[in-house]
Amino acid sequence: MLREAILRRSVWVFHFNASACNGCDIEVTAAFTPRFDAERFGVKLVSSPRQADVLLVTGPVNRQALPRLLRVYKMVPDPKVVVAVGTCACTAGVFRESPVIAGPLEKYIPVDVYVYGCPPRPHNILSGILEAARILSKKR
Amino acid sequence: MSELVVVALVSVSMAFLLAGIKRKLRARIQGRVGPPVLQPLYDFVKLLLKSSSMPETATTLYTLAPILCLAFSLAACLVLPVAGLAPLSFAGDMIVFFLLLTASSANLVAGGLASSNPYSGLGSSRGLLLLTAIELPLALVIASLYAATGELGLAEIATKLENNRVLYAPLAPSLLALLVYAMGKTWTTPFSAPKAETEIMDGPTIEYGGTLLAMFELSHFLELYALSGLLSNLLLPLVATPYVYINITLYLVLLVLVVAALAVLESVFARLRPDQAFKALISVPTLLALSSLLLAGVIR
Repeated sequence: MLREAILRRSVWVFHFNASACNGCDIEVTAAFTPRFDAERFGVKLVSSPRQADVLLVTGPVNRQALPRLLRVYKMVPDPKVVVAVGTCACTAGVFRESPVIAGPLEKYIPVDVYVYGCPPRPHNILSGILEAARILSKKR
Repeated sequence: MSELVVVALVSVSMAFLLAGIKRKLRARIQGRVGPPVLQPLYDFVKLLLKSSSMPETATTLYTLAPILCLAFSLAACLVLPVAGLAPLSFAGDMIVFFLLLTASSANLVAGGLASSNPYSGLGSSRGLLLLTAIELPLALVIASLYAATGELGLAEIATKLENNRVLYAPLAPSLLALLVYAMGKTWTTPFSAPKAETEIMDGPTIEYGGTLLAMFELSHFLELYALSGLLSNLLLPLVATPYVYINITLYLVLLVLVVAALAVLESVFARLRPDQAFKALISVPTLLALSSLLLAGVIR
């Protein structure tokens, strides 16, 4: 019970750009500015996947980004949660048939939260991260 | 023995609380709500609950550095008196206090160098640059404290200041220099070049996660408490009363005031470049401490 309470209150997020157009990345960065203030929920952007609880992935995964994505996913210690931010990460969007796109995120790593939008609004991204915190607190 | 337990409990709990107050104050100054004051404690416990994530090229130094860093900063906090309670005090313990803090930072730098990551290597080299810069004003501050009071022990200096409050006049620049020293030691803005998130991805601790990172974090909080505690112990004789419990309360209030000053300075200043930070740390507190030393010599 204490473990659940702690994991819900301290959520460190690593943002990974898997060949995104940067639109979602700008909205993710905006979610951590004083206007939306993600820090009041204990959510913090960290610079290293080794320090992260939540892996926030933007972009349809292209063939070059795929091995790096898998490596970063392995570096995030358990318990971990993956959030797919943006239509491209969720379903590859308009790039689904493209020969350079390896496919949406769920083909390679287990995704827990999908935040749709092109780009999704910062409050939607933040609510997705809080949902991820709830899921994280239930993980063993 | 029980006094030692009290000092240890006060150190660790105030370390978390002061870090939380600093973060909350900084958020409020920036116009945000900010995390709860106990957030550093939540972060620390959460890190202990994580599985380990180490680089493949990790050496023994990689695992040893955070343990030693925590050990040295905890030892420094135990040597520090708590408003008169000084179970581990001995002659010259002020020098040992600063030595332990420097050893703690040295291990943080070593951990960054042992991480085989170019960002952590850069952060460590910047950190070493700043640690070298603040050694000179530190020596002058110790010299000025000795010149004014004739003592090298923290508890004895506090007693001397309480009996002879006029000594605060020559020592005032030295106390300011100590505040700048605290900023340079804990790498708070404007001297946060070693931990520049936007430039080198958080510096020396980038390859650390889980329990090892928890040790580095706790060591950082303890260092903040140790330096605030040092300033509070040196300022307490100004307002001390004959009653122990009032003194302890005043000590805690002074701790919060010192941390508030650090938070305000952190929010107001921009980050200096490493060369600017080096020049600032080697000039400003040195001049302050030197003037204090000369004034103390004149008074004597």
